[in-house]
Amino acid sequence: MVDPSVFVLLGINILMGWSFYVMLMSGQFSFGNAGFMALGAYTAGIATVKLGLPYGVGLLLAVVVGAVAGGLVGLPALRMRGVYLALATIAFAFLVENFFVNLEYTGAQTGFYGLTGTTLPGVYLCVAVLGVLLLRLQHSRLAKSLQAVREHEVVASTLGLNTTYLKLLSFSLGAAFAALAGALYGHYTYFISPELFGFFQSVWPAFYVAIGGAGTVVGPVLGAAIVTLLPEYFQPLQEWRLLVFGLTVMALIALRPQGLYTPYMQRRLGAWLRRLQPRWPRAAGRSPTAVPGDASPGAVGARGESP
Amino acid sequence: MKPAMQSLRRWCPVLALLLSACAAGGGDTGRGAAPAAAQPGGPPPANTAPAPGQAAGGLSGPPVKIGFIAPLSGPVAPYGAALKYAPALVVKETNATGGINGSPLELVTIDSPNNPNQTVTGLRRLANDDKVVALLGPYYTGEMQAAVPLLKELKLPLLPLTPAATHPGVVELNEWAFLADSSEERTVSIALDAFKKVYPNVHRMVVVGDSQTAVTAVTLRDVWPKVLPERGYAIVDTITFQFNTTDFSPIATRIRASGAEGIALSALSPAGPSLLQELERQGTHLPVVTSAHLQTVPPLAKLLGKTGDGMIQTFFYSPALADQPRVHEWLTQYAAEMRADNPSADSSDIGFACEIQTYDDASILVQAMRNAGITGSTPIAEARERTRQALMAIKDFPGVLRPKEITAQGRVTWDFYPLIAQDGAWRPIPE
Amino acid sequence: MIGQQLVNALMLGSNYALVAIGYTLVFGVLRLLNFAHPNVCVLGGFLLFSAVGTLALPLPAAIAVVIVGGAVLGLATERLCFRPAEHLRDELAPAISSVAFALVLTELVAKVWGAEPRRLPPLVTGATFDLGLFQVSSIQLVILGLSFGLMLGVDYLLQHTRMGYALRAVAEQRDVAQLLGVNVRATVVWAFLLSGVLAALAGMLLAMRIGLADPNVGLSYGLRALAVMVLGGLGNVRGAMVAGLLVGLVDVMALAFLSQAYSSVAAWVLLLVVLLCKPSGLLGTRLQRESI
Repeated sequence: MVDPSVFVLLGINILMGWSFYVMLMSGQFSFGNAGFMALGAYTAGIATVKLGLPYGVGLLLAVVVGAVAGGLVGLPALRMRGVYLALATIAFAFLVENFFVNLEYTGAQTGFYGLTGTTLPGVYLCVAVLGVLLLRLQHSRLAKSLQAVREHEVVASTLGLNTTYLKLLSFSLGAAFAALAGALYGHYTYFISPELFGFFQSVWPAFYVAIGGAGTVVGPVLGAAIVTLLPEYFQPLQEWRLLVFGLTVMALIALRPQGLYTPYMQRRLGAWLRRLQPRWPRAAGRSPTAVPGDASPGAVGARGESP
Repeated sequence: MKPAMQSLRRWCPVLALLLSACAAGGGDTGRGAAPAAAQPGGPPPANTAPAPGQAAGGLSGPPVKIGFIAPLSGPVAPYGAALKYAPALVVKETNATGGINGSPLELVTIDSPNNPNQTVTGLRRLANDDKVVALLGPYYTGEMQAAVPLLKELKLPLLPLTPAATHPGVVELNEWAFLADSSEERTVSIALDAFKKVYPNVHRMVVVGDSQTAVTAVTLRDVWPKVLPERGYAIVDTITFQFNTTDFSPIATRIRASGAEGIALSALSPAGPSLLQELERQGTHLPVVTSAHLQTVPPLAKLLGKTGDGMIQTFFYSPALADQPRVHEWLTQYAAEMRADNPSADSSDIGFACEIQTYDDASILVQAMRNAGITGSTPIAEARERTRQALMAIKDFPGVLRPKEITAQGRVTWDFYPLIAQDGAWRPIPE
Repeated sequence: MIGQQLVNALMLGSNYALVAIGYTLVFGVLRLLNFAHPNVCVLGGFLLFSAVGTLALPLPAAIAVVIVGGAVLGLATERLCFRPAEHLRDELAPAISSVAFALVLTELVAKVWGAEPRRLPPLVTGATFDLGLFQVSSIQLVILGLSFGLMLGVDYLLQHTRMGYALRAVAEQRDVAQLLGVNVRATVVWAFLLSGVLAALAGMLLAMRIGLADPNVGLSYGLRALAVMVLGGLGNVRGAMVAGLLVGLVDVMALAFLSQAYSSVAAWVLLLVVLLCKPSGLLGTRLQRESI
């Protein structure tokens, strides 16, 4: 009913939602993920179009550049919290946009074209691999440590957690997610320009997380699905489309401010699944969608508990 | 009081949700019903315009569909609202005169509020689900940049609504995109030549514009620095700003300090009026020549009153043409369509928002589909390819303003008219 | 030119400050961002347009319309976006709901008034004073007077009235304030009401200044005012006033002297530099640092 191309965008949006979610795990709000997304898209685009490198290498470079940039931005960001950090990340995204607007090498404001390679299965392979990684992370000591930092940083550090390292890690990981999303996105739209990575690209991921729920890996997926698919179903409304969409989001948040899918529901669902399949307790306990299997080769932080 | 408020709080969102769920449901029905011609009792599909008079024209069989992508929601919605009657009018006329070789013509409309993402999904949906033979739109350069490469993959012909993406190098062209035969340099040069004629004593120019929007950024970077010196003007300063700038007082002050005698302006509509108004407020009235992005709904000169007087811009329409019988008849017809849909619509400015070009391009498309001999039962890939070939052969098409054709480079010819703002209206430049 | 640009900076800065004070009031009591705030500014401009243009009301009556409109929108924001999530003490959900509300307001403005700026009739006729270094018109003086009057009024209200005490008490320690008998809910509602009125008035003053009701004010002023709020120290009304003038100055001077594309990011660079050196803003106190 809805064209497959929407699902490519959905996959990319899920990655963006996760990038916000991962940063939020340590309590860091970033409204500048469009900046990392742009960095990823441009890195991968330069690699494949200008340097003629293979698509996979382009994606990998984007992830590396994203993670490094995340680390570099995250380092000074350690001093800031809450809204201060959110504003600093907004400023960062504007600086990135401005940088590419003035970069003649990539066509400045008009951008450049020739980026190809992203396919529907490719996007969902990335989503699946990173989803498994996140699901495993969700019940690890690392996640608990991040949660401790989120709840109370001072207490966390007195408990012997290396809060600096943990915050940097989550920021850098989130930035890498956004960069990967950007690389996939650029190679799907065929052309990229700074216009595509404006402020609203930074705000949407927060929508996904707020609507779906910030407590679980599945939440942002649900939120991304709603925000991406609803406007498509609203196409027949024509000029009333955005208005109805805005009202719907307000209604969703008013009815379920904690998000559609909460950790409580996840536990209940897990328990129900366990009862249903007593011989498969562990995987079901993790999450209803957990797939048993090894994490990705790039399993950053699989053993990332505080040193 | 309090319980009432509480229940209101509880029910407001629920109502909104219900409302939108109904709407979503309606949409579903709409698309689901499209293949099975008429569903008894079901709501009519909102996104398709079933040809009125279908039965009367003796048309039968599956329809031939064409797609229309325009901004219908969001801040740029008025632009789509101004020209959305043009393709509908063509569909109506086509079905009254035998349809496409006996098959009814149907229009599928998709909203894309200057958002390349929505253009891409909308375009794919038109191509894959709705199986349109050809496409009208999208509206903006950024959207066109996203759409053109896709056409090659989908093998779908496109005709333009606006002179979007016509600057060299902005898109990688292919044989499926029949863009307007225009370019920034061409429209700017036409306006500048008229400017030189009207203001022979102006020599020192300041270049001002929006460097954030792709199309105006290109004009600022490539076009003005080339065409101004070519015509003997000195550029005394270049001032750029962002698309959503609202306070133009520092820019106006800087323009005043630059000693410029005229302004070369490239900005989208909201910035243009604000800047000129601010200059006026600071007591300066300089002659302005602008690239073709300032067209507004309602036209800029009307919005600005006398503040815009003396400004020169290239348009694709001239009010001088309204006296021609064919144009006059067309304008009357369009105004009737507009008022039938929205009785309070202002029909006095029809023509300035590329309505005629959209109508002509849609008519060219119909002509090509007729020439190609396709019907609703022609296999879709074949119908698209034959339509593309027929488009290439269009010559001397009787457009509303003057004959149009498709050039050897696959461009649709557009006309250019330099106009000057006088007493709050655009007028032809006196000889 | 510098003299004139300083006048421009003062006008712009006082406007930023007004918008930022509205932000900071709500942030102070709730620790939450209200993204629909700048859209109330937009509406303030259009309400003025309709009141003086379409309805041909005299200016004082038009101002009353704008104030009522702002108050209603402030209250609506609280009811629709913030109250439903109140019990969770969650930072994200209400903020995002207010973004959605901003989207709804933007669409409504476009539906009612159109997407283009609308021209206001001349409101204050009077001489323009040429002081050699710069000119200043009567309407600019009126606007400046109103802006600074409003700022001083808000400051007085916060420092010397019962409502001000309550607002500051809730901002400082919500739970303690409640224990001491402050009606926290009423205080929050008051903060939204005041913030809405300030936003609408700021939008009105902006429209008067540029002579247009402009729907694009939302995004440009919204983000700038957020930066101003953060620079001034969250919840710090006097800080917002100082920071507003500073950001106005930077914006104007960047447009006046910087060549091309870099002018738009000057204010963001200033924000980053200040945050790196002093993460709690220019006038942030220890309180602001710890409670956020």
